[in-house]
Amino acid sequence: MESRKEENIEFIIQGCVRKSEKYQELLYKKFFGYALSVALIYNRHRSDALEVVNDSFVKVFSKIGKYDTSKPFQGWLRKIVINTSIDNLRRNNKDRQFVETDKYPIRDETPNVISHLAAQDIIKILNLLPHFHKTVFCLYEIEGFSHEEIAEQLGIPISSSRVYLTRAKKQLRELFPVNSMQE
Amino acid sequence: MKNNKTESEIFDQIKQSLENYEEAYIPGSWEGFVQKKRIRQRKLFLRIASGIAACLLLGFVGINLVHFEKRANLKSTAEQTAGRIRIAPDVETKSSKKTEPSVVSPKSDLKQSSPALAESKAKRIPRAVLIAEEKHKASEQPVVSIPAVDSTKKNSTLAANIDLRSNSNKPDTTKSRSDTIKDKTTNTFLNPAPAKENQNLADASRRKVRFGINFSPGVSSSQSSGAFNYMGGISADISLFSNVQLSTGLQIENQSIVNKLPGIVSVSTAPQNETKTKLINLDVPINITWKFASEKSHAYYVSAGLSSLVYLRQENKNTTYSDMLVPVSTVIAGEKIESYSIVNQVSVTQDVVTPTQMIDFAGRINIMVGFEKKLSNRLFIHFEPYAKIPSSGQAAGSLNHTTTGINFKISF
Repeated sequence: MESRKEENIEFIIQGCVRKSEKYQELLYKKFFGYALSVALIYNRHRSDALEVVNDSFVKVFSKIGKYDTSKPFQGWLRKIVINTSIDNLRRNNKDRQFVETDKYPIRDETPNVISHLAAQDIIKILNLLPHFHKTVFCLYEIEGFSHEEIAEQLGIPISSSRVYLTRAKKQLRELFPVNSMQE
Repeated sequence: MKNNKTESEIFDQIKQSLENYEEAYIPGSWEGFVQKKRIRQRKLFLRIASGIAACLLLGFVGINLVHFEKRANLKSTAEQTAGRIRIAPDVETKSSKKTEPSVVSPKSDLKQSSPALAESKAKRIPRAVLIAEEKHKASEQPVVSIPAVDSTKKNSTLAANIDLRSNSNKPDTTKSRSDTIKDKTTNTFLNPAPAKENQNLADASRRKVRFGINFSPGVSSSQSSGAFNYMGGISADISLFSNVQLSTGLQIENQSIVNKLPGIVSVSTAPQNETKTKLINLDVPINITWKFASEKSHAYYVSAGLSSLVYLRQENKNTTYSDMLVPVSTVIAGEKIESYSIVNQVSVTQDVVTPTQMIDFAGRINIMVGFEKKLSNRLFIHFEPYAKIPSSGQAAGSLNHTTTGINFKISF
């Protein structure tokens, strides 16, 4: 009976609202993998992604009282992880002149490789893009944000968001094995 | 058209792969999270506590300075008063002998008509006389004359009549004792001499600030490695008490920080990713120094406080290593065999932070022990091993590095 209760997300969330460390641990362990997978998309290094996951859970535990239980928890957590990643990106890249001095992109021309590409490989390829390009691409293509929303979140002009997306797509076309898709 | 279709298929593939992708729980993450949360809370507490301590210290120093000035003023006033009162007994003796009733002269009587003025005078006079007593052990004669002023209040009309008579007989002694003292006290407050003495005291207090120049080589240590750094600048030591100083200054610091990060794939054969940061920053320390052993020629002390940082330039060079799957085609006996091999690949990016974009208040905690040696009357040399511990992530890349080294300082 007790174990069933502990598996129930609503019950865990209620425990977290009461600031019970036991339920916080349950929630953390249950959604850690999901949060990390989202954070890895938006952060270049795994250590940064882990930092973002921890920061996100700090926010989750402090704001869980405001969580609307009628909506799925994963969506809420995903939003927090993405926002934390963007905050990190904005903080670290504030007034930074990004200069790419040297880069060797992966160019895999093996046929039919795309069908075997795992998510980790895709993340690796995405990480070859400049950070802003990758973030704009993911926000637009995966999260379904508009350019206006992306520009507002990243603090960049709308035109820059469009340019970054075009460049990201162009680079991805070069990086992905397109032969297999054309066949 | 075909290209567009292919493109959308690529992005759909990416989308699907990432949507279905979920990492496994890493054992020990929760424990790490709890530990980090505690460290954060401790840091927050440390920041708040140090802020409160700094405010209290400033308040204490401010009050102490005001109190010091008041005491200096009082001291000089007392000295002035004492110097003049020493002459008084002759005058007092004469007047007390000859014109004893003249204690209540028409002048003093008139002044008593204003009770506030009389009261303030009564307050002022005994204080001046008491200080004079302490300093010079003067005779009680001038002091005895004071209560007479109060006693005259009761019989003011009668005393005025007597006084009028006595005044008509002895016009030279109309200047009563109370008047004499009044003149003395008025002189004390109006005389420009105390101002001069205050100036001397201020000069003396100004000499309590010692300036210095310093240079310190050291090491910046991150979690993974360490690198050489150096800094130099000017300093000022303000003496608060006999063995407590407030030390501040302005240092320019050149640091190299190397951070080695694990790659995405933990089982990778590639070397660890590396970030080399060259950082030039200004450091404004505010430390409290306590001399726990002080001799004529040398002293030992400990110092602790906070440093605020202004980053002038930050240059990051990121070197990332990754494994690449490379197809290898071999032909054996006319048959083409395709296999894959893993190749390490290096990617280098460089970015520069523009000057004065980042300011970090109370970004580092300073801990220092020091040895001071007197070279001449006004010249001292200091050797100060120190550690600067970050209180938060530093610079644009949220660097967490501890700086240690030895500070060589000459103060005068």
